[in-house]
Amino acid sequence: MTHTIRIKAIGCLLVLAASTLIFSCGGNDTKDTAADKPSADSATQKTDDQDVSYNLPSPLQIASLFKKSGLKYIDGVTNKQKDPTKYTSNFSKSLNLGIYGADLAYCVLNKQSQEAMNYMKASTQLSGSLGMTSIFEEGSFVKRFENNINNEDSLRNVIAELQMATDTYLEDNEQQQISAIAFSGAWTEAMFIGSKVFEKSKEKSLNDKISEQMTILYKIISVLKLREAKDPGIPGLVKDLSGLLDVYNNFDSVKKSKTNAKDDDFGTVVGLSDQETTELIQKISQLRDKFVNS
Amino acid sequence: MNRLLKNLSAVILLVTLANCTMAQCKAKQIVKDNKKAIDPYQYDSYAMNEVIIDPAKPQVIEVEFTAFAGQKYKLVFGTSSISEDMKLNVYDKNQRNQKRKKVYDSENGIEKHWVFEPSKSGTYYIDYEIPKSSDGQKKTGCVVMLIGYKE
Repeated sequence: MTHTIRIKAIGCLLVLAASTLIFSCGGNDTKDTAADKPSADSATQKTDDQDVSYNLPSPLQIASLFKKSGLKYIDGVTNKQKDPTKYTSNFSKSLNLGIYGADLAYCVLNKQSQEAMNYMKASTQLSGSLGMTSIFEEGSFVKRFENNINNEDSLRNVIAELQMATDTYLEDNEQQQISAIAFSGAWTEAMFIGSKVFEKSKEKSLNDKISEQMTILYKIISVLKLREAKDPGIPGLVKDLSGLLDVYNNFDSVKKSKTNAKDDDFGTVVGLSDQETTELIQKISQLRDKFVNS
Repeated sequence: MNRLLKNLSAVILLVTLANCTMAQCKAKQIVKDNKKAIDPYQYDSYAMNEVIIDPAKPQVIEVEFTAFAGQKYKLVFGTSSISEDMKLNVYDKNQRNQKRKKVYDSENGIEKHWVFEPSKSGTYYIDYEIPKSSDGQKKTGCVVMLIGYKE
């Protein structure tokens, strides 16, 4: 090796090392500081030179909120596609993993044991196809679910533990985009189920819950935007959910209440008119149909 | 010369791996270490942030947390690989809002929990105050917030 080539070789090695140090260890789609490392179902966004992380509630909590608002069981409202092999892309698998999760929670909370078991099995299969088989094996979740099929409290504990195992697995394996997409699916499914039950029951509390839940939609969109580079389906999902948020924000009732989903005072229940409710439910249904048929 | 290049490569590889090990928070272990503190509330979610303890300046990391009326919450805070005395405060508005009110502060350090029942649904803002590095060295650590709820 000549002197010049040796110097170049050492130089290249040092540049490579510097690059490795800078871009290794979880480099992601934003300017990477340690404070930007988000956890599952959360993400970090720089705002005015400060970091803000968002944290989203679990599908089980959302289901229990709807249940407390009078959500009854309607046969056939959950995802009829119970063969998870129909979902082939990682995006559609992640989305429908969330949808199955919401269906599972709905069935458990309404003591529909057999349907709950069906969705548990579908979720297990779909998670496996996304590389998460080890979670189910380590926690024996399916067996524990079967053993406690008639005990709602125990089933809720099993689901909560499964949620924890999934959250930490996706975080540690840098697959947080699966979490974000799945949550979008779960939230949409919860809103769809809530709206279908509302159409039948006309319970005001359910309508209020739908309105309240609309105000976390901007957080879901924010979390997804930070993961856009990690799955080609995310930009389209952001567009779809933003479209739904725009519909809501353009309602006269919402404008009049001066409630904007980006404000700090989220959670204010807006009394939507009948026409606005119908339009919102229609939009939610369209989105949900698109997701389950993806 | 070839031996020099080989040795240099080995050193670079080791430093890179060491850097990776120090820089990454392992969610599974940290959540497992803190999950007992959630009882008797049910696990809902967690937020974990890797932080850099900088010798030059303190900093603030803000985490948004969504709480719904009618639920009871228990937030458990923990750290990993941080010896500095961190504080945390919880506010009802984000740090850009000067009218925000503090609803909780950790006073004696971060290893605490907060139990509350919101009267209305809303967003709470947890501000972790990270001091300057106490030994003049730049280092990384993790802060975690576990969220439990019950009805």
